[in-house]
Amino acid sequence: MPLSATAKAPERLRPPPPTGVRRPAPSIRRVSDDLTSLVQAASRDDQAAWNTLVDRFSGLVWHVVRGFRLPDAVAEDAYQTTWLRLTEHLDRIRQPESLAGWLARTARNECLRTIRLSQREQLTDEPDEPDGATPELDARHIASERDAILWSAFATLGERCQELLRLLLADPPIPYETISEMLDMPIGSIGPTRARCLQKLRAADGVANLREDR
Amino acid sequence: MTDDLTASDSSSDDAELFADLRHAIDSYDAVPDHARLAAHDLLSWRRLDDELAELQFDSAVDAAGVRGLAWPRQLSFEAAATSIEIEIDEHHIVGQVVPPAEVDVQLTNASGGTTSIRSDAVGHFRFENVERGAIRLTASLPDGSVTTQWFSI
Repeated sequence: MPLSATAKAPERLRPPPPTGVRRPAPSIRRVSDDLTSLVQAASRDDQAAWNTLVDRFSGLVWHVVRGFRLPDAVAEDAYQTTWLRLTEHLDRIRQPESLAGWLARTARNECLRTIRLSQREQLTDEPDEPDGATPELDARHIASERDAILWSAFATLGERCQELLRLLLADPPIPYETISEMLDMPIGSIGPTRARCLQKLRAADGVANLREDR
Repeated sequence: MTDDLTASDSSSDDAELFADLRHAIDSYDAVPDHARLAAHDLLSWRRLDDELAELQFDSAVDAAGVRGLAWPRQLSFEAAATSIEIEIDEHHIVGQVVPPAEVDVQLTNASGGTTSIRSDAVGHFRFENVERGAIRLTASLPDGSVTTQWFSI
């Protein structure tokens, strides 16, 4: 059966995604199959499969947690509790492709719970000083001056921009439906809001000059 | 170069800035290795032979909308035939196994440390000086153990 039976436009003529966000385009089928076997193996106590899952989704969970301005130790607790929840939930995952969304929601709920508790207990032992904090350089990465400028600029953005950009940066990606639900923002607003947040980032000190030294 | 902000291809500019931002954040705020490696260890802590008592109510979350929290914080966990009700006040936990049973109750923290006590005839138990972080409780009932979901205190 020739391909002409489908009504799809040729690949190169397809419009870009409405949000304008670049997404990786892996073979969905393959990734999902791979994820299914990882989840199944991990639920059978396969340590290597579990480690792979943790490594693959660690950045996603961390981005969600870091979208909240929590002290490091509290952020790490929320990160850890999210993975504990997954160990309890492994047997019940029917659609492994929903794992990214599940982890994102779980991590956010853990953070919100912590924040509610801290309101009562003043758990946050240091006031939020997003601008004043000196960034600690992660030894595993060599940060360029470009990184330093962008990191400082990022810290000057509003909380909502920071959280949205963090969620959008997660890799594997968090589904738009989940981001929409998490931020209580219509899906159609995500792309334009992202553009506005990037515009603010671009307007921060030093960022406009960055492209020149590329 | 000064025209860049008004360039027609702003979406590709955005994509470039977005990629640079990702690199910057990964450089300054990647997942700490010790946290990621600790997460590797969590799989072996599952208690597959125990019945899981699921969190049904947490006043820290479910009492939302009320100004201030209901205090002490109350949580309720339910398994098929047993529930575990607790209250957390400052650093101690008081609780009850329902239906009432005189059994061993074990508290496990997220570092793997455990403390055990025995509930009294009406199922009451009490843990003192519980450290912050994720914990869970296991009640060793005659028909098998019941373990709560992990919860943060």
